[in-house]
Amino acid sequence: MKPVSGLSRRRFIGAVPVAAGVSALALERAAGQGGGAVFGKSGLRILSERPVNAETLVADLDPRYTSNDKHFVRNNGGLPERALSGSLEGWSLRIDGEVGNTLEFSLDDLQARFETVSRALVLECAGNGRAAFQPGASGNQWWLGAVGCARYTGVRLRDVLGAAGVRDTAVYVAYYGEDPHLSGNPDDVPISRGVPLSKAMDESTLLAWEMNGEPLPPHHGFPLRIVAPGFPASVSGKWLRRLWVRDQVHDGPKMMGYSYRVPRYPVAPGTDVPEEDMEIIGPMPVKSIITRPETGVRHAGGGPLAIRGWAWAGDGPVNAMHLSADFGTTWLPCQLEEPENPFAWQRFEGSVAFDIPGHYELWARATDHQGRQQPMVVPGWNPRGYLNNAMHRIAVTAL
Amino acid sequence: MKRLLLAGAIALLPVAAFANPEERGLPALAAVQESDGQALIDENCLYCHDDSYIRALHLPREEWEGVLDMMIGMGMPPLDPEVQEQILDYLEEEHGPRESSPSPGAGASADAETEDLPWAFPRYRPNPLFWRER
Repeated sequence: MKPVSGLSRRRFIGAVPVAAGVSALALERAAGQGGGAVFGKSGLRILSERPVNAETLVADLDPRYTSNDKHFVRNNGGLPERALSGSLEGWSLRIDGEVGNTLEFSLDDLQARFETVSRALVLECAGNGRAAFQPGASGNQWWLGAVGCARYTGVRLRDVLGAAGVRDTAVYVAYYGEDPHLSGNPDDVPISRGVPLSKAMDESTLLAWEMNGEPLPPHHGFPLRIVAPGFPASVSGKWLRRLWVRDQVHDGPKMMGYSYRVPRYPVAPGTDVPEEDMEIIGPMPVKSIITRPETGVRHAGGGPLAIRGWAWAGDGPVNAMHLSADFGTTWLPCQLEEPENPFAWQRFEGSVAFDIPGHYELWARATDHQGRQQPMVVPGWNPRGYLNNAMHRIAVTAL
Repeated sequence: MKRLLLAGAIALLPVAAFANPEERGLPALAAVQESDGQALIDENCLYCHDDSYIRALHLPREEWEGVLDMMIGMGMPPLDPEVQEQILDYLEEEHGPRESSPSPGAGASADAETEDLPWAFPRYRPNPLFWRER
């Protein structure tokens, strides 16, 4: 393992433990440098600094693999000191609960004992696009950039669970990480979610130690995280220390109430939905994004305008991709590649010609493997503003 | 109300409330006029996150109180009761419930709030009839 590179002397948001972070941030603000940077990141839109939440600008989603410095961050607590020091001293991963053998692994153990795999995997926050809901929903006001596709290297979670011997009574795999609660109370847990056993046993669900060929960056869970692609990214626990195999649906922080849950039935916008009518979000819906050109582009020359972007879905591949330049009256098919591996996003490319100069909207619509398409409008209002997979639209002025 | 009390993803964490700057040996932050609600928001809320968290919501006072409770659940130290009342006064005044549902072209404030969204560049709002019929 390569050590995490040394810290710059400049204070970065989230680059200090919780207790010390207060004064560091205060000093930064007092010096007029507030809102500056998140450690290890550049050019993100920062939504909050405690905890760090920051999203990728659309143009930076254009590369096949979202780079480590551009990938969105959704933290619930502070950054563990280990993530910054890069030290593995005292670190282990414990597997317990509904297993035949409680096991404890060092990172070396995991790497030596199980087959190492690399996969390009999409992680998307369940609240990506929340800012478009009307009436507004509380939470991070993500626009379009709480999604990314990086190349992760690790072992299959199912191999590790298999070594521990999952009992017949197991139904859920819960995680606990090292991230400290922002209250500073060591007994508080900022987030502890998990996945149904079936998702944990999926071939693509990994315990990863590398992201794009580098050790997991501090904000992405050094030294080890779950990557359960297709599900809300909050199930892909970071800074892992424990996997608790449970005989019931996990009830840790951010599993209950309204967190990462939507109503079991369609509700009118603004409805006060009873808590017992909320259900946990499973696979994310089909979605796509235009990464080139950027919205607001002025297209000169009269020739066709090349369009490209990415399409993905939470439970299988995307089968078709279309563009419309006339508000959905007609649709142009795009070229759509096969995914590099399950849960990798897929490149689409198309071109649009404009016969008459003027203002246009381009709409992008993905269709998944079951024929489900992205909706034109922001779909299914829900109390916390999850699962907005409305078509991406960009404005084009044809000159 | 319940959904706001129980919801937990906003990060309104008033770092400045941990202790006053002088006690921590830090330079004083910008002076706050006690009667200035926006300044109190700046000092206590925007220290940790941007104002999109607030602009997205239009709530009655008791639900804003629920949001503050939610923040405490996430690690926010409780506010001085007087400061909390002033903040709630401000939120109630500036971010209280809208009188009507947002309607395309009808509400300048709604447009202003979405002006900086990437999807605001397209100027057509989907399904305007839905809102007009309500």
